[in-house]
Amino acid sequence: MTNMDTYSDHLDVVNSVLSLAYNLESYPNHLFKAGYSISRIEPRFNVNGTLNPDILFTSPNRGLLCECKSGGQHIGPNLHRYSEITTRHLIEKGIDILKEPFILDVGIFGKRNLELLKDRLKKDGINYPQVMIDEIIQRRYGDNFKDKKLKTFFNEPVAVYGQPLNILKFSVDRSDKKIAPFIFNSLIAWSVLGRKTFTPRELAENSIDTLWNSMDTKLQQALTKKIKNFLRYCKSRELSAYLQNRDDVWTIEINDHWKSRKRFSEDCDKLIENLAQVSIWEYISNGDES
Amino acid sequence: MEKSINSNLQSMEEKGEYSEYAVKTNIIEANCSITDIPSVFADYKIQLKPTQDKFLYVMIVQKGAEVFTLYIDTFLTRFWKVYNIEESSTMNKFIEQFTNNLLKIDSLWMPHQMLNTLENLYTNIGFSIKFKQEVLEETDLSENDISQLTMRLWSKGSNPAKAIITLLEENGYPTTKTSTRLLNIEDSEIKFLDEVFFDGKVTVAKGTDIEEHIRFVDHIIDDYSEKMTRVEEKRMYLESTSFGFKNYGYPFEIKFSQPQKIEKISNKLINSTKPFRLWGVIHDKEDNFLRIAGVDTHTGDKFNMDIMSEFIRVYLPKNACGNVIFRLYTNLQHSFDPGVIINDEHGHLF
Repeated sequence: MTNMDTYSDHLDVVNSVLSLAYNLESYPNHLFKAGYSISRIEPRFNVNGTLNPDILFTSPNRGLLCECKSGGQHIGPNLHRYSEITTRHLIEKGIDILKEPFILDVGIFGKRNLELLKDRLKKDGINYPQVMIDEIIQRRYGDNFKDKKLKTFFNEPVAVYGQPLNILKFSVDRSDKKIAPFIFNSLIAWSVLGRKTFTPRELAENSIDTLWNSMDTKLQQALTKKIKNFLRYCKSRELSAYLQNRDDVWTIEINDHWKSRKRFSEDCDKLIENLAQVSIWEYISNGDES
Repeated sequence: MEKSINSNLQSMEEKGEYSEYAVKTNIIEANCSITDIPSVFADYKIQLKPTQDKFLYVMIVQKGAEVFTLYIDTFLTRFWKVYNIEESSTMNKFIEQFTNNLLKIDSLWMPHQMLNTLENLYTNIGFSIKFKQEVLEETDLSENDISQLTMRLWSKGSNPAKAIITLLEENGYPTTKTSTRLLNIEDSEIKFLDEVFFDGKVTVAKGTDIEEHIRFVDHIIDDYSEKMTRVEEKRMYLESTSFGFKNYGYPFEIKFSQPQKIEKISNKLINSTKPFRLWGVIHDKEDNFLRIAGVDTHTGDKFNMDIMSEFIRVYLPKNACGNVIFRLYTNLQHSFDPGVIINDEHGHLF
């Protein structure tokens, strides 16, 4: 498993946990039932240094700090200090505390990797509740949650039949197979709207959507470069009939007819299918040379 | 226009209910300005003439030797009212091309629940039901599945209409109404007899005052607009704050009346064709699960969709037009699963 795949799994775990706060029939709703909603994703607390849990859920008088783990070894340098986060730190960040006393829980969420991670956590003296979200959702290791509702809901094994929601769609570190659909999406959307020319940077921004402005310049540049190379790859393969470029200015040409769009869709599918068989770095390095 | 309408109404009164040249209003869902409409599209040439009322336009439409006149009220920027007294077949063809060929112009897509809601306020004296299985093949259907049912009922009084619906429901037949005929009687006087179609066409069959018809059309727009607001409030996006990302919105969850074959559904939904008009590429595929990144080819807006055997989840991004939810759900009702339901965080959307 590459690092990139691990990161994809991390995003899957984050999405799995976030999904628990929605009241859907197609996915378990533990956190919704317990009265929690998503307050912030990747909040940053300054508690004698930066503490950066993955998600903060809140209810009127409860908070839940979640750390999502996809690996079996790495636990991060500050995880043991999450319990130092208090109500005061939330208020300082502008989080509404509707009822006092406000009690905070910390939970670690993962998949089967928890079987490995639990030993590492134990070794480091970390006993936060550890919830496995796989075919079954259940707190497997660590202490119980302080919140009685969380304790009750997570202690009971619940089968997961559906896939989690697609809330965080992708990050710059995701594999091209994961990013490709969003790029194709932007291309067809522009084509429908009659826009034909674009730069890789514009395509990156459009694909990332509202998160683009929150990315630092280096990350934006990295993603732009990645998309530029990916476009070259597409142009040399299944999308050669649609894409042209002169230096950094690209054109997309898809006829305004359902048959042409359907054909484009089939070619995108083929390209994605073939991407699985290509080492993603193979063509990126080729692209760099050209 | 009012003079023509009144004389037409009088003529209808004399002739009886039915007239090909009845007063009709088509409600159009617009995400653009009237001036953005091209002067030529499909086989039509159009000429827009402003009037003294800055929101009212006269549209002269030409198709070959045929020329006809429409009156477009754009006071509501999102929902235009197109008044006319043209022949039904002429108007139907024009509206079909107008809403299918032009970007950001769409018809309404009222699921049968919305038509039922209108019936609560008036006397329902008839309806149309149309269901045709367009997604599954005959070989995919079980003995109990209905592949096609079309009916049209005219009745005196609402009891026969209600009884027929009950009978259909008891036998598990589709009750997906595509139109409903409503009689508004006040003080023993017929204010109007109008037929409302799922696509926003409203025809006058009887009436004494055009204002009553216009008020009724406004009422339909209000209902639709209210639902649209509810849909568009659920658009999902993340916003960067000084303290992490804040999430907004909620997905729509469509639930089928029975488990379905997901490939069949996706093949039909995202092939860019009418009536769904959605484009998509599958980016996650697992047992009984497809994740799709899509584009509404009607507007160029993106969306995401998860298809499962019992559910579809639809995620609308920031600024996407909510009419795609109406279009998707109504057409699923008409052409795939008449018992399909759709929920948002508050429960049934319709």
